[in-house]
Amino acid sequence: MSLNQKLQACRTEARLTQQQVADVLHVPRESISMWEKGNRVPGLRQIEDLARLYSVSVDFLLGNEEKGGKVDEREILCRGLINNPAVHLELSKWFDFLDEWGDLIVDAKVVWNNDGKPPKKLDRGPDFTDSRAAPTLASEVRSFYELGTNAISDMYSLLDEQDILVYRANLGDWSDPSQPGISGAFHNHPKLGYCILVNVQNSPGRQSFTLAHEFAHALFHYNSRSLISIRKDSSPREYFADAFASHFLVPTKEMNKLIENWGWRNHLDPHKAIELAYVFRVSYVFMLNRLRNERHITEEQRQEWSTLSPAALAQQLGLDASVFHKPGTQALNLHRYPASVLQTIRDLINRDELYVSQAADLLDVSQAQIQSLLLSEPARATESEQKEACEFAF
Amino acid sequence: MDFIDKLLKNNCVIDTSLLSNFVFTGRAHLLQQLVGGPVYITPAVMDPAETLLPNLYSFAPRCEFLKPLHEVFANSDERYAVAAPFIQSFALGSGTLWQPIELTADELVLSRRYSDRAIWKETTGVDGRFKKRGLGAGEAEACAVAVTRGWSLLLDDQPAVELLKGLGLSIPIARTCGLLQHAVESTYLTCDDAMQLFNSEIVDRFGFHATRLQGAERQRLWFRCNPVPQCVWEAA
Repeated sequence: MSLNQKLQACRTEARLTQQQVADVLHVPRESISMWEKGNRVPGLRQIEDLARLYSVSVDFLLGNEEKGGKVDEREILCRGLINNPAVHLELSKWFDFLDEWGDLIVDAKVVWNNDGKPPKKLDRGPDFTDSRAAPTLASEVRSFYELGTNAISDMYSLLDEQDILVYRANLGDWSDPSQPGISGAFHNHPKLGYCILVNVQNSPGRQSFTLAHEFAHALFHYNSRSLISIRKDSSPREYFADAFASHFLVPTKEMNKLIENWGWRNHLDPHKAIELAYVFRVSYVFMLNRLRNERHITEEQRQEWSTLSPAALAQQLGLDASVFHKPGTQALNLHRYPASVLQTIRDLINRDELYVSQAADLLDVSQAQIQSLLLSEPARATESEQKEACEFAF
Repeated sequence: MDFIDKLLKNNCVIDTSLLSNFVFTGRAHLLQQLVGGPVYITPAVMDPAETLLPNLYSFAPRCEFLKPLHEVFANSDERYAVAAPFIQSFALGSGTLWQPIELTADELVLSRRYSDRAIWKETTGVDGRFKKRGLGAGEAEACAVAVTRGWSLLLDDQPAVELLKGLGLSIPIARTCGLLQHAVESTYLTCDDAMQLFNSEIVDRFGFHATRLQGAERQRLWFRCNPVPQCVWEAA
């Protein structure tokens, strides 16, 4: 079978129209038609994206490899999301990045302290799902990582410090029934250990919850190679991960202490709930759930209050409303990657062990971006910044 | 400079970095003057279909040359905001400033081979530091076209140079600094202008990564006018 015939057959098998493929690849529909008729040949980037979208290998499309044989886990996962081809493509890109990053750090002998298993002290076996134990385990994990009981200021940094690679992507809108998105995914990579994918189209508070939820999978479901968080998945693993995330992000004792100290017991209202959500850096609806579960509010109150706009509530109190905004599709570029990845890339380029074009290809950004953002000399401090530095010169 | 003269008489396929060095600094016409016509560009570097899309700023293009337009939108980097109109006008100059290359199926297969790190196993005498990854898509396609069609390569990427050498292929290659030297010798540019363009604009302003490690010493490539126009590596 020639390339064009394969392209047509694979698209049909994936149940996608030419227009859907064109929309995801940002090319005119006519290009897809010409590739399938054999009038034109796609470029290397496009053939890679087509292979991701159709869950086949590039080498199969180019005739160097037979189809079938090993059906890997990613194929199964991606096929389950075929209703949203853009998400499918992003998920596939994530898997490819992990494979390439894994190869690179092994080759370059980069120190990576994540073997895909939790620290011994936290190990409860590879598939722990008893959600009654979630509060205790959340507290143990906090204690192990010396996090105290206060709000976790930045889940991204916390995970990056543990060599848990968190990759950001636009993974669609959960609330869109025609093209449902996903909030995140967890993958236990053979070379990188556990890695997390997170949807940046959700509010920062919701992202924290996803990260804590995937962290639970990493610590307590490490036998699973990959898990994707989709809406209304009520499997025991997902239920446990939700319970863990709830108690990890908002420890009951700390929440109750705040409510007592501020004299809010029996006086809670939506504005007080938004302030609590702000303090713990979680979403408003999550906080309402948490308050309902701890019987600070009733189910009726939860339902009624959740009809209010969290951003508007925050604004009324002079809080930073961006914490509660759903930012929509974002231009990520280098922001897709954690600081540790970019730091490693920078070091490798500066040691002539990786070249700008290779780094740009790996990170899927322009060479200009690598040169201007990652490698250039940082801008000098402004006069007022320098004055501030003098203030601390003691 | 006979070598570059001869090389430029052939059809020239260009990679992203070298193209960007000329276009971002507003010197696309100098490139056209040097090549004596349009440069040939593969889809991974610039895809004609993407240049026609109306919402170029709002999504990340797949082709490398247009990506900074989207990145400017996302990061508001002043340098690239200045370059954006140059990128756009060059992109619209298809047929005069540049000519899109339609890859053949064989060239696509060869591009894939060059972009796969397994290709290094077929090379001899290449230092291990180049072998951490295959070539970037733009470089892989440009090399595949140059090899298949016997064209010249305008390219700065050292792994691509090493790969072709390691595969025993002698493809004529010109780099940014060498082209500027040729531009001075051809009186398209004064030496002071070339020096300013390479040292201050291309390297200092746009961050072209013209450095290398020689032993323990970090060196930088400079365009110098004395005693003659030349490209020299000096301690950074």
